[in-house]
Amino acid sequence: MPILPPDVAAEKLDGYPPEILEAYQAFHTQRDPADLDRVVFGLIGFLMPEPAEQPLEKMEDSTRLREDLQIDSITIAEAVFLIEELFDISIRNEDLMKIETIGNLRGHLRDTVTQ
Amino acid sequence: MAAEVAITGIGWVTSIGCDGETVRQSLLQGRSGIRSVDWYPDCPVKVAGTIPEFEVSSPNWIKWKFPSTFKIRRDALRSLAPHGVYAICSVLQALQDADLEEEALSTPDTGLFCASAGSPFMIHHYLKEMDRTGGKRGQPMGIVSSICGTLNFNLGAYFKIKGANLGMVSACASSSHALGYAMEEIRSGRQRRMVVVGSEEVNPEGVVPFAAMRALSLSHSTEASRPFDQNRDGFVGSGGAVCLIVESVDVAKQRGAEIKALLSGWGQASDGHNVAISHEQGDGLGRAMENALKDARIGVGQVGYINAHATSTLVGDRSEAIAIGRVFADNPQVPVSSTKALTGHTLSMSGALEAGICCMALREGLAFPQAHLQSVDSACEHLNLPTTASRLSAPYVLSNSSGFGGSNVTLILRRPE
Repeated sequence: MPILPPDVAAEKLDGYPPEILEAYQAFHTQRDPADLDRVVFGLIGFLMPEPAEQPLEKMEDSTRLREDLQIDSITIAEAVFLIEELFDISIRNEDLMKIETIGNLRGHLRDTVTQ
Repeated sequence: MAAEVAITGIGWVTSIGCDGETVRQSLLQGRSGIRSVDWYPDCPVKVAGTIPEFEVSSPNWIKWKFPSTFKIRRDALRSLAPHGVYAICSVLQALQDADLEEEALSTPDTGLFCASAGSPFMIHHYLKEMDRTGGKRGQPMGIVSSICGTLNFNLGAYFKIKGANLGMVSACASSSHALGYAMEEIRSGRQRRMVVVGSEEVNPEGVVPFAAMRALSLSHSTEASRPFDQNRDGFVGSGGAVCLIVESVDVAKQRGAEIKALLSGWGQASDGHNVAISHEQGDGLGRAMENALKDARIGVGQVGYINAHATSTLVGDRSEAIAIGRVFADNPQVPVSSTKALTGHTLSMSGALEAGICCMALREGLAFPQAHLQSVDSACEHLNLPTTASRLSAPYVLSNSSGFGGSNVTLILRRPE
């Protein structure tokens, strides 16, 4: 799995909340999927207009991104762009369009990143 | 009868100040906004009209800093170019100046006209990224944060504009065109209020290419911008943002707004001559001034001050001087100055900036002096170019703008009763 070294990732994440980089560094060394979740949902949470009531990674899998959290498709695309950069992956448009819930996103990224 | 048009609010993000009072003091004291820059070690361009209090030199919005008095929603920053930050701040300030809430802009009878060249800086950044990834991926906000139109896209969404929303692209005449057509929207009754914004970035991508046209001053002096001076050697690039809130006089009076100035007329005409060089005799600009005087139904004797377009280029300043001399043959003593000596040339935003300065001239009852003038070009000697402020002796002021393609616009403003 070709993921960026932490120092290169630190440049990409410059200015984002430091806990995202910490989670990335932890995932880089331990490959714990829970750390991956903290990276992914930390990025999306940061891009949201208003902070969510609780960390996104702790929400129910059935929580809908658009309807329940008002996260628009461009925000998801922007987070996905960063995730693609960090993990050197490519997420296809048709797969992105199928992602509707926290659980969909978690599952898809865990599968793609750890392949 | 066509509606009368008023300016009721102005927002300033400029090299000579980021609020009305600082701009006023800079103009009165001859304080220049031109500063040293060191963009590339061997680049001959060493001065620009940079914007104090803002740090937007990164393509990454997370790193931008701007005065804490301006509250911009964080999610809105993601789709902005750097000059979009200036622009939103200028609108917020203009709203305050006009005593309006943000919500007042989100009505079907309120429109938005913007002027900007887009962001060559962001386009450069995104295209480098495209090369790096081989087109495999890119920033989703790349297009809306960079191309020409980025201002009207973003400001339209930010302020929830429901009336007209578009951008003007006539280079350095753009925001004067925006003001002229905003007047038409209000005169016709299609809109009752218009937000007009001109904005540009001050970075190497936006400024240095003009050096290839031999249009920029290569002086290292902060007094490098010296319109009408015989030793001028080109313009000094600048930017920022200026917003003007334009309303029908009836709407302004109904809500008890303070009217800063009345927009009495405007005119446009083109040179039909050259893509980048002004007509030697100022043909188009002269006709733009005549058309504006006709539109305002006034004679040249009623004009008390001309804020010239003169950017400090050899050909452009002479062309304008000849045009003014021809049109104002019966009022040769009308004071003329180009405030670009202090602000630098703000390209597409210059018309909005200088209309704002004309409002200030009317309010102060002053014609602003020509700064940095040591020895007048012999081809401009027929102009009255005062080097100290003089009292306005007539109720109207005139502002000229000229852009690539020989596009010329003249605006005429009057002090309110």
